[in-house]
Amino acid sequence: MTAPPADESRLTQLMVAYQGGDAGAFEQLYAILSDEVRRHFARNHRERRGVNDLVQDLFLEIHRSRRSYAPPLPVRPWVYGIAHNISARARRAAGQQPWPSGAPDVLAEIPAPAEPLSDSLDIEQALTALPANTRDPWLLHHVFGFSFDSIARRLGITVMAAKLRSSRATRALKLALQPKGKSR
Amino acid sequence: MNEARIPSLLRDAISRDLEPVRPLASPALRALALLPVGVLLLVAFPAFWSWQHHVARLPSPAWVLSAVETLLSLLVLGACFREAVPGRSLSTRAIACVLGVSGLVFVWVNLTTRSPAGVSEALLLQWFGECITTALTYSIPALIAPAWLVSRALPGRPALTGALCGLGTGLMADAGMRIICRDGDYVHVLVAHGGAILILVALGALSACAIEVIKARRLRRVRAGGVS
Repeated sequence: MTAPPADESRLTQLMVAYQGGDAGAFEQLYAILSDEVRRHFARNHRERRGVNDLVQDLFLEIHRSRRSYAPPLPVRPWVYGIAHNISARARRAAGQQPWPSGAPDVLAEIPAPAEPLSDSLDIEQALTALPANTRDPWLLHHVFGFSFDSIARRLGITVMAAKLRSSRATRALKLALQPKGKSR
Repeated sequence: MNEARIPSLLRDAISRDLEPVRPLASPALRALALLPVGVLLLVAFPAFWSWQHHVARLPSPAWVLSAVETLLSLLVLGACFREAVPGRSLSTRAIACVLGVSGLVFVWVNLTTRSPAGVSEALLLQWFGECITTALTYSIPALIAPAWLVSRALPGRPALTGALCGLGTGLMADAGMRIICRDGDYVHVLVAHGGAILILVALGALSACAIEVIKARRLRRVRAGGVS
């Protein structure tokens, strides 16, 4: 039931067709991207219902903002930019609710892609390999946009420690995602 | 295709208005589209003001520097439009660069062409108010055009995007304002003219956040099954 990995040029073609009013192109985009973005949201949201709402919000916002996509730029950064916006809205709507720590139970319910999507799965694997104490500050800052002050409060560490851990995670991710055989 | 998996609510919302759309023009082109607004604030505003109040305008070299400030304002607005597009947000370094260059050019343009008028303290305060009020009167309507252009995209950091929009408009208005201003006192320039720009920055940030809240509410209504 999983969508095949789609290369960016295919996504671009579909997006252009969708901007031209082709409903079929939207359906194909949904089929290609929905599991991917669901996994993206699921990493950070415990309840399945919440994740499904976020995915639905994302596609509604993609529809409303479809004119802001400028071909032939890659589609995924645009989609994930909107996803970041949706996450931020959800966070604001949730107010001061504590950060959900047990996210993976939703992740398990979402089918993984049949073949690795070169970007998302590599990043996911690299993130999984990181120690939790460096991964959490990185995710909170770079994916969800929390300030380091807020992260420090949430995790009970100093601001400097939050920055340091996030920076270490960035370095480790860069190393892990470097093409094979390429040195620093 | 996984067509059946699309929730019916989403499918209905999409099919309600699936008309073809034209992609937004590039940020640079959209900024260039605001050139008439810049020219209006650079030429028409000082001309109208000096005709109405019978005051002399600055000589031509000052106009050249004002034109530089107008060009800078278009660059800032271009950065703002880019920031508003999902996935194309500016890096911290780029934002710092835009803010730094804006501040430096504002100070350079304003402080090199005029000498202090040496007015009394009471008049100084009055002129503060006059300059701030005049700049805001002419630039707040001008803020509408870039704010509308920003609202057509989907800024991930609405406050920052709106602030850049306000900064661009503020610089645009200041380019005309400095031509008719009678006081070249450094404090006056920094507090009155710089203050007007800062007020526009704040207004831009607030309006972008308000637009974002309205958009989020609309989205919630759509999800709840309301109208699109």
